[in-house]
Amino acid sequence: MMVVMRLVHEPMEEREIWKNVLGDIELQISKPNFLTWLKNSRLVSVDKKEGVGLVGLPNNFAKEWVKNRYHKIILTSLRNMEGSIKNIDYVVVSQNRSATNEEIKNDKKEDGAALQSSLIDSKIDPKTNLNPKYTFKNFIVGSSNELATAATQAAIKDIGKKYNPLFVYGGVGLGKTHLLQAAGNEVASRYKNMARVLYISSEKFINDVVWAIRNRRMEDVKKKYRDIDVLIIDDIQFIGGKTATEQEFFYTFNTLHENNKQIIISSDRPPSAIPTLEERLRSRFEGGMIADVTYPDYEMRLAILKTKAQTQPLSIHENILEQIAAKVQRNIRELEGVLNKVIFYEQYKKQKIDTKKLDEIIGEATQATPKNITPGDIIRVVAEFFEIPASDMTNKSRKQEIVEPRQIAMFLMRDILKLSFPHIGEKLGKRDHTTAIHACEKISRETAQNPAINQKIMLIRERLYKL
Amino acid sequence: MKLIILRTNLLEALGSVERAVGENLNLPILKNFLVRALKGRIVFISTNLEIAVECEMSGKIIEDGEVTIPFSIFHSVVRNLAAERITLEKEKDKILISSDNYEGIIQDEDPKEFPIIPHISNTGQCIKIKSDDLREIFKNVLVSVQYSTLRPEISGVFMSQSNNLLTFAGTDSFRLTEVWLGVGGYTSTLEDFSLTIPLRTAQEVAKMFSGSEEISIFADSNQILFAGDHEKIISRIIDGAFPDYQNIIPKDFKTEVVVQREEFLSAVRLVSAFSGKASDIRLKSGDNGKFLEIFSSDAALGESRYKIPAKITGDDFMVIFNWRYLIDGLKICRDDEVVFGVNSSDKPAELRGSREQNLLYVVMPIRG
Repeated sequence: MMVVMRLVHEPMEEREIWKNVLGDIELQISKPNFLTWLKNSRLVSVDKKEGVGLVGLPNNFAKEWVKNRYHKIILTSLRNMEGSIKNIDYVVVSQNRSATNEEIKNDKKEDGAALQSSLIDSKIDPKTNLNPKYTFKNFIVGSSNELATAATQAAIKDIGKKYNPLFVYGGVGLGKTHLLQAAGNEVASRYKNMARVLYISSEKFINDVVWAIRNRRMEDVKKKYRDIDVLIIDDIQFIGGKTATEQEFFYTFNTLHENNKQIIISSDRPPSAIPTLEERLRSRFEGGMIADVTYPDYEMRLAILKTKAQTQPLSIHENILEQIAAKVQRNIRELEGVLNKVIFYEQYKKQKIDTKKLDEIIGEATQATPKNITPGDIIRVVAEFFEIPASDMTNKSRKQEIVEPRQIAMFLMRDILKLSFPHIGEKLGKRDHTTAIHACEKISRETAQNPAINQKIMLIRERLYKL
Repeated sequence: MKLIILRTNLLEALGSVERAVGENLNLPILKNFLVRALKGRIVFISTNLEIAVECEMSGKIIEDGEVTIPFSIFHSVVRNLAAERITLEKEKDKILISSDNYEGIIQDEDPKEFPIIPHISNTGQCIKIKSDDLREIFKNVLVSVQYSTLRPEISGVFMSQSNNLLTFAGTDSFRLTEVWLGVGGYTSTLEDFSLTIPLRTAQEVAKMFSGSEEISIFADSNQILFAGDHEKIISRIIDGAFPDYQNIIPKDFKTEVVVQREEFLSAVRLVSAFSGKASDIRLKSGDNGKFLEIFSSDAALGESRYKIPAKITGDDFMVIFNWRYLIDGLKICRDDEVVFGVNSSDKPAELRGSREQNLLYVVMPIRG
């Protein structure tokens, strides 16, 4: 807590004095005038040595008016409270107010605007870069991210003390950003203005450093990144290989770490697997806490969908959600993408979503999968994954350790390549199409029940997509 | 105080101060405007405590002085009066309005109660722009601006001067207009700066200064002043940083569509009739990049498809837009031919005239 306490300097004294002054002035001028000109005023500072009080007013009109009309009564009243005051200066101070909940509620866009993408994310806090939509409240915790969540919560409970740095890694679209931003938001709301939080993607960091080098403004960047209490950097893997940025980050890291400031980092892989990362940075990342986020299981995916769907005015049929959760397994972002599309069709196109339409939507949303995977690739990758010779996949053997990989390969050929069952049988050792049908049904049934097999398929898919 | 003013001059000045006459329950005097006759100058002043307008007019001063007059009463008197000359005279706490055959008496309110109009501290340096250019710029930029209580920092027109370029930009976070003037388009003795002019002020500026005069713009840390030959408007500026929008403007495009502007505009209007609640229409590249297909459908209404000739270079594309935003952008491009740059369905697209060198419009697609 020491870190935080240092930053507290509530001008209690000024506030108390000003309250009394206002109480005094209120009796001397008319109520409308008081409300118009002095409502949002405050005493910014009192310089006892010079005997000058600085009064802040919300705009120039108020400043001119108060200066010209009320100077005398304010001075008299202020002097009564604080004897040393000889003069008053006036200044316009900004009304740094944030929107109230009421206003946010009233800001509901006209129908349909919800799908209009935004050039600038309108909710991002310009100071911290955090998006308030990411909170722990709407973050679904399951076995796949339990450790990372617990570590993050522990880290921000005891800023800079417990796990520093905290390094969270995991695949694309598994909620790392959500977790990191939720941590930032939690700190911002728990410590109010006392702890400065900065969330930044490593890309932005790189841009800043490049900009600073080009414009010879390195000092600005140093100040920006070293004058904070919690630094959150997303997708650090992109920093690897960019020497000047790495160096700057290294210094920033050290400065913050030495001063017990919390650092939270995310990446798509553990520090040891970022090939171009400098050794000294790697060892520093490994010096703190490392937690991973893995693929969510079916129940968790369904829970995520349900939470998401609840924020929509339209209620989506449970059955549809279950189907999405079962079919979209790789990535939470895709999960949300599919849900958004379903909502789009139901709400704005007034189309009823059936299984066929849903498959179409899922196909569109996950179309990013490479088109050039061949059946041969699948056989090879599956064999490699299970560490068996690829030739075993296509021979007559019916050993248990061969059967499962073969069935998985069949399932994937059906699922990714949409091959016909006879064709699949053909590819895997001239088997009958009923064998292929049985395999696909069995695996798809098991993925819903058995997390272990699901995890395996996930990892194989990932390898396939990386080809 | 006693003045004789031509009715036409009066009407013109009233039209000007009307822009800032306020409505304030706490301070009813804001419904009045201030008349100041001093040293051969007659000035009308009004304010709503956000902006203040000053208008100078010619007339004959018989006796110096100050009065405040309720705007609406006075305006309706002058509007309906047939006389050519009108005399304004203060007698004790009454104001006498008279012509050859008319006499009206209005209660005066103490001019000392009228707000003091702030002054710009820095009056040495300024920017000078032709009023026609300024009005045009503001009109174009305002297309993309909307008032938002949630985001006061973008509820206005961003203005910045750097590297001999004077730039104006506005956004409602769904689209963005940027307009700029190079050397020759303006003169400036100000150091480089950037500030945001409140929406309301920008709207008024876009309507004021109807003549072809030169406008001087003065600014300090929290106010901006636009001064023409007779009229002046002073306003606060928005505190809070305007977003760093340069990053949003796409640098290059996967597809570029060159198309006749009028044709594009009427095609969008035509097809929009069938768009759904989301105001969505779909743009798609046609075969061989020879035409642009504009399509919309709604389960309840039906669908419509329009193909217009276009020169398309780059990848095939299919992106959904809000047709209102497209029309807004097409309207402010002036060239006969426009270039529409598209990247993908989740990246901003850009619209600009094919020859135009100083305006661009960026618009975000609709997801789906």
